[in-house]
Amino acid sequence: MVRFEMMFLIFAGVLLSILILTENTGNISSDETILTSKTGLNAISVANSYIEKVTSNSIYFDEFTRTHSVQPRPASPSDSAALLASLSSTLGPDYGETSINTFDDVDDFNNYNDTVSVAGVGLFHVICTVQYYDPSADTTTSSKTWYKLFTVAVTDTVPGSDIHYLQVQGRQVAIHRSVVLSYYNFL
Amino acid sequence: MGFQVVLDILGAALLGGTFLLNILRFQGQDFQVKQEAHDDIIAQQNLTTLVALLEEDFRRIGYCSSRTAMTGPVILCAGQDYISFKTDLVTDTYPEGDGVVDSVTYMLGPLVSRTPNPRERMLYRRENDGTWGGSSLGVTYLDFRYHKFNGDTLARPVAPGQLKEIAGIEVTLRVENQYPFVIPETVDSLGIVSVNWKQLDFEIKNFGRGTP
Repeated sequence: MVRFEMMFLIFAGVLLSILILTENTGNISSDETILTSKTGLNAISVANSYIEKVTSNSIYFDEFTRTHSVQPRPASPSDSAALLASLSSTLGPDYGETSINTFDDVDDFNNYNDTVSVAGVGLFHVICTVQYYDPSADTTTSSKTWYKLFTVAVTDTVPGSDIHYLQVQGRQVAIHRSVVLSYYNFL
Repeated sequence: MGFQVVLDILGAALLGGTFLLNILRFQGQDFQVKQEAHDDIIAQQNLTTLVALLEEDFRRIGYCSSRTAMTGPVILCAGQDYISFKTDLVTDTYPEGDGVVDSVTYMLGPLVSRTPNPRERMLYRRENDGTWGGSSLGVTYLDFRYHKFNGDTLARPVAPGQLKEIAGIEVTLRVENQYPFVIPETVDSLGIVSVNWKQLDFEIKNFGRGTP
């Protein structure tokens, strides 16, 4: 009889432990989801900042258009077609452009990377890429066009560790935001 | 035999009581964890609501549907926790603005005492010379930083002569739960769920549009 009672007691203890462990696992999972959401919110604002930067008035479409005015289509299709070859062949910072404050055209941001700290949230790692873009095919292209696709990718880490909250099913993910930039010229 | 029964009952009561106490303590902690998670979600929702409002206004700094109407510097005053700027507010009749230059002012107000969070402040917004509208939604911190065209930071408050040099604004906003599970005793106490938001840059697209 006593043996049965002991077994019931042990069984009750095991059941209670399983219940507590399950509940705690659920709570931890819920906390992780909230942290992911909070981190994602800040990652998006970091990404937006770089889109703001690249679309600001101080950034030209290309090093060439910084010093040359091109009449857009349909006003002068031959002009825009002829001058297409003058656009940058290599996308990246030009000579002397060593920091983001010295960037003056869109493709200077190509392969630019930075680390941004947001108090109370963590560190965000930013990587920017710029590619020519073909709007008719809706894809990037190696040929020169009057469109450039700017993409910013943001990942996170907790300072002093390799822990990250931007993740899906345990795998680290990045927030990607893109904007297509085109040359325009008000007449 | 009688003594053995009493011992059994006492032992069972002791074990049962221990189980019960553990269950109750676990239930209490579980409730707190869930409540704090719920608070965090509310704080995040409040933050996104405020950010949407700020973004809508800040992206329109210096904009006016009438191209010639905007004159002078587009920023009227700029401090650490306040800013006033020119814009063209949308109306139901004119969704792109009515072409008349308006002004919008944001200001972080004093501490409010109507909610348990001792750090909560009002975030005031005013259109033109109208009445101050305000929402708190758990705002506890607001910070504006200003930089020039070349990236140099401007000292705050920005001198009137330098207002036209502002080309970008960095905004930091912190929102906390208005009704925290554990109410802190002082303003400096920790323990409130907070959600930071830092928009590193709002570039003024209409920079230099107004003629100084």
